[in-house]
Amino acid sequence: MLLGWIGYYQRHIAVNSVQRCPFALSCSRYAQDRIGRLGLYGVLLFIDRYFYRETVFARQTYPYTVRPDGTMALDDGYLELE
Amino acid sequence: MTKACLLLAAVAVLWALPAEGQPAEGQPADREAFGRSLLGEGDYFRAITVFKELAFQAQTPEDRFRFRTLIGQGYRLSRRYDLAIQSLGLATVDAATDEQRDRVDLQLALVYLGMKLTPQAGLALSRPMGAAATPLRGLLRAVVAVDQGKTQEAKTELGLVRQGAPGSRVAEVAVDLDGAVRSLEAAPHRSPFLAAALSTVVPGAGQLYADHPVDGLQALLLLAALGTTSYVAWRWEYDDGRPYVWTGISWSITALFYGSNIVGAHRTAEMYNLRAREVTWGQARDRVLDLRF
Repeated sequence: MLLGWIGYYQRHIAVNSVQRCPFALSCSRYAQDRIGRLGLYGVLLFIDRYFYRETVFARQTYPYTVRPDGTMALDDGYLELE
Repeated sequence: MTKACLLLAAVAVLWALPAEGQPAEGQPADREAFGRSLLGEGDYFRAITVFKELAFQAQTPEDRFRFRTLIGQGYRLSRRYDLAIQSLGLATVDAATDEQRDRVDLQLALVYLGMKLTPQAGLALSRPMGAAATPLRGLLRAVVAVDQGKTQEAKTELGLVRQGAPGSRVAEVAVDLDGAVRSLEAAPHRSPFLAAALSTVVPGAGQLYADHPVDGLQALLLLAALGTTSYVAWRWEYDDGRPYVWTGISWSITALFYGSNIVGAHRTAEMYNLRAREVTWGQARDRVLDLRF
């Protein structure tokens, strides 16, 4: 059900909105991937990212990386910490 | 008449001169040297164009192999890894000797290291080469070992490289890498399990320990608010003798956030170690990724 909500958000809300997530992999994609693969543990990881780590000070804590579309975003080690 | 002849001669001379930035027409060897010079300058895409022309016109499989490998190298250095793999795959078709296969393996390993695909880089270097193995192969194996956390194995490989090719450029890079490996061993470290344990006792303490104080403060405040809300819900339902519906909901949410705070502390410590590693090891690693051969 949670994944259904995330899919709905991605298809109908995110596409009509500006990019707000400062991280290279957006929070909705992160949640989709983590919850889809890890279940409840993925929910915990998503809460950690969305509620604890995504702060206005994130830019001072995380380094920048370049997204495939050439824009800059914060790298929270998502790929390396797989 | 004389003026017209002189004018025509001048036009002919100007016509024959190469345009600025264009290589002189010449033998493939001159074109190859021009391409290599462009590669050296970092003008990768023009170099790739030159090598593509040469590969298209190559008369022998050996020449075609050499130019395709250079195309792969150009793409690798410009970080177009997908195209580098494609070009090196084409070069493999013309690789006939152990030396040529070694060359492709090394380029592919560098591509995979650039993509941070360490297991694939290890696989590319795993072909038994015997006497044909170059010191560069040992150098790249050392990088793979460090990326996999096997610093002792890396130091052994680097020692062998230094002994195998004393005074060479590869040996110089091996000395640099050896220094970086030693710095890496002395780099600051945060235990993910200790961070998780600290956050279990005091929410946010693990994040603070892992040098993310704002995340820790946010976790502490949010859990304090959720805990208070849950307590108020329980008090209200207990005093009024209601069924504990809101208490159950609010405590469930609080439990999720509490668990997330512990998992997050563990992850934050891992991230701290990853960054510390990038600072001490990243630059040395990048020097290897920029190697040209």
